[in-house]
Amino acid sequence: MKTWLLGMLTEFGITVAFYLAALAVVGITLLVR
Amino acid sequence: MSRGGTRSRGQDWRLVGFYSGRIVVGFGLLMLIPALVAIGEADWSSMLTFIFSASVTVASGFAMSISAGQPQRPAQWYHGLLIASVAWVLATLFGAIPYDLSGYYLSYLDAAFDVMSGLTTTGLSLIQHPDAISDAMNTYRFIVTYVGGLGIVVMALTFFVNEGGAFKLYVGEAKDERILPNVRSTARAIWRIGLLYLVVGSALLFVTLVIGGFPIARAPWNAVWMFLSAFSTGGFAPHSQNLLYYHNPIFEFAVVSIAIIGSLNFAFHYALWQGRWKEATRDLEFLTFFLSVNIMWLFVAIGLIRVGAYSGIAEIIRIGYLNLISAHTTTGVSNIYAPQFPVRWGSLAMLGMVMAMLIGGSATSTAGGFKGIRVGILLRAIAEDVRRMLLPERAVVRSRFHHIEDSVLTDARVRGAAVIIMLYLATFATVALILALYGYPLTSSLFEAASVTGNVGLSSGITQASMAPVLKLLFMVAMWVGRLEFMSVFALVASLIRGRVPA
Repeated sequence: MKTWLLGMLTEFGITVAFYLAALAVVGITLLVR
Repeated sequence: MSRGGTRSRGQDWRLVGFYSGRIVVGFGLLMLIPALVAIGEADWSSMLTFIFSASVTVASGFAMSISAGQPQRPAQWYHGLLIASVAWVLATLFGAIPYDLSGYYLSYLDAAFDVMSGLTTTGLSLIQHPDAISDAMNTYRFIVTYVGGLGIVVMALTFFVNEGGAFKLYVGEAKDERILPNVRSTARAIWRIGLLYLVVGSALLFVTLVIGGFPIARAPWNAVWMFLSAFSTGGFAPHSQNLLYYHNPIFEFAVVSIAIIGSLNFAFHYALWQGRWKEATRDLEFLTFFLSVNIMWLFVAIGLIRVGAYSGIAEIIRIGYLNLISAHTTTGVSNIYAPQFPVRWGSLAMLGMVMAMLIGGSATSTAGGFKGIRVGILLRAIAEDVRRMLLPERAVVRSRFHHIEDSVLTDARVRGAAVIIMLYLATFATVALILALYGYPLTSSLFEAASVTGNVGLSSGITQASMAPVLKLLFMVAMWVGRLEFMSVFALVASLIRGRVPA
């Protein structure tokens, strides 16, 4: 597979990581409230 | 002495005129794309509008270049700064012609406001009845924001200019990192990344629109337009309700993903595309951005939960996080109405948004704000100073950081980052103060000022066609200086005041 395509997929993976981190932050905030 | 000075000044301005003219020609040729869309849809009125506007712009650009004459020497740093600031103003003035002719703006000033907003990838708009405008006009709106995001000087270097001293032109547009040793290759790399994402991103948005039940015939245009808007961190939408129009959480997620990708440094994209995966865990700018997003999100989330703005984790993420990312990446897309920010979000969430808008995305990206690398450098410098205080006086401390490559944290870098951040803060404070002077509430004033200075485009409801013309001009200047990161504009103002170019 072309390296640029893997790079692009990595970047989309990064955006998923952002959402997972956001879920963790809001989840913990709701729990400790 | 005075004759020599005058001759030198004339040559310098002619050089600026030559390159600015070339850039204006390039911008004029872009207007032929919406003209082709108009021809394809037998929309003859739009076609005439764009062909007339393109003709005037291209002819004026050629006239500028020809009357300035071929430069006798390569451009210097100072010329690069002047060319960028002059070209952005000229592009705004010429770019407003089709908007003004379309009849969807109440005045030429409103039309020029929207072009400056588009080019700087801000996304605030004074358009009337956006739901009714033609496909050709929509295509033009999104092309303006896409080209502004990648850079109009970068566009010129890619397609129209092949001269010595090109790097000096490139730096003037606040894209000061060379991805490849040759600046023309760098400009082309930026366009290659942008165009590949255009194909993949538009396809992704098309699929998510269709899954959400959007009419298949209208999906391709909406997918391309929203890609151009999100990737360039612009924030325009073809509908007055922005993302709310689509009622589609999967589409919203895809748009946010593209906005995050668009806000990343082109050098970071290039490194990943070269297979240097470790950059994702080492790059100071990316790590600062990731950390900053999560800290600001913590404040916004606490603020939203405290005032009970939304019920349930899904709604908080779908609405709260989308708008936080939209703010932090300086995109400006939204799935709520502008007046809901001051009414529903509460002060804490609003202030979290203001901070996010000011910090912004990455340097050498389409995003605005301080930029992650400057915040990272400043935080690293503070940490180093504290460390130094705890070490013996004779200890030698040499600090390093990693941004695409290992670099030494020099005083010059720290000073450069601090100066730009201070200038952003000063512009933000000035705009907020003037808005408060006009009687707008404090929180809304801070929110709108951060949005304008950081080239975001979210609004608390202040930006409207009915706002005072002087505020429209103020916003245009703030968007312009924010996007070019001050130095180009300062160089232009200093040259005009002093009457000479110290090249």
